[in-house]
Amino acid sequence: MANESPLVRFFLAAAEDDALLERYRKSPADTLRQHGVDEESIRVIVSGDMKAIRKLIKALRRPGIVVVIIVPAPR
Amino acid sequence: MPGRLTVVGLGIRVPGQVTDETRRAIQSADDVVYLVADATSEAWLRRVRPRARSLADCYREGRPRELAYRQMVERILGPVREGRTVCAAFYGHPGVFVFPSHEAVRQARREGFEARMLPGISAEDCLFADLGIDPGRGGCQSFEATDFLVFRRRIDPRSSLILWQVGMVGRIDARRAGFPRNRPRLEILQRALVAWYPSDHEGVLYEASPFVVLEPSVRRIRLSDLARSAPDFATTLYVPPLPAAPDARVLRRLDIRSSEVQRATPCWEGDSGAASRIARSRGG
Repeated sequence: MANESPLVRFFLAAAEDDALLERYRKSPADTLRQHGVDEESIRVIVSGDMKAIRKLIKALRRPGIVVVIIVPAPR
Repeated sequence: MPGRLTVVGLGIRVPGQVTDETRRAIQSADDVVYLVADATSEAWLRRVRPRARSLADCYREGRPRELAYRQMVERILGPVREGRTVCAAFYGHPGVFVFPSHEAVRQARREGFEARMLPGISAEDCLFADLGIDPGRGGCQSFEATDFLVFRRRIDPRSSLILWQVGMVGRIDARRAGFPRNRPRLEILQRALVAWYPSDHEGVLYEASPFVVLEPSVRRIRLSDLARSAPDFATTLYVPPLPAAPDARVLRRLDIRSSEVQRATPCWEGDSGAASRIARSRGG
């Protein structure tokens, strides 16, 4: 759970909590804000643009190991 | 203890569409591997089984999908061969548009292991519910978009037609097609459809919502505008049926009145919920 973003935590909570879902339906941006979701993510979610939302959610996936290769500059 | 394989589907909206038997299979397996489409599904799986391993790294840019699938099958079957119980979880229904799930079950059985597949809620199930379509009325034809083209599938335009992965038409590698890069291929698909339907016939570009707080994406388009419509890789095209009249001679032989025959209707007729949703999304 430590790696979960506030948005993912919100989606999982809303899937199992009808009262939370109802609060979201009445006031989506405020409800997301109360769950610690950042303003940019709120803007995308509230737009309802599925393509943008998919992109946003994909970017939230657990980061893997990042290998940085530094190539020496030509002399 | 011999190894055993259970292949499950998580549905489209996780965890709401995860069935009880799927949840139990995930909880009780020695090892869990998964291939899911979004961070919420992955997070839910890792809550249930923190050591579950993703198969997503089998996909690589430019690598043929077939090679990725073969690697997934080997990753699924490895622990089964070591005598462990394995649960392989996939997005949606594990037997619909998923090659490695079927192949893993087939290969496990060939090698003498017990293997089973549990059904999940597919994107097609969501489409029927969201668009208000009953495939029992007038029938329903369903093809992957590239398959529809390359095999020149013969369809009956008086029945519903569903084409999957229209945004990926003509692509056989793991790269996301993207728009406008895929427009020439979409034009080929558009021409093939207009050969069966009037060019002003309307279809629906549909995408099921993976999140409980979001509506599905539903966009009504003319078939002649398909190539300009920029469908996403996950977009499905639903084409409603053309009007059909029952055969009078067959009706007489079966002793059925014409009024007793259920006719297929476009999804936006006779369903106010679907109609208003589509109207709201029109042009979106």
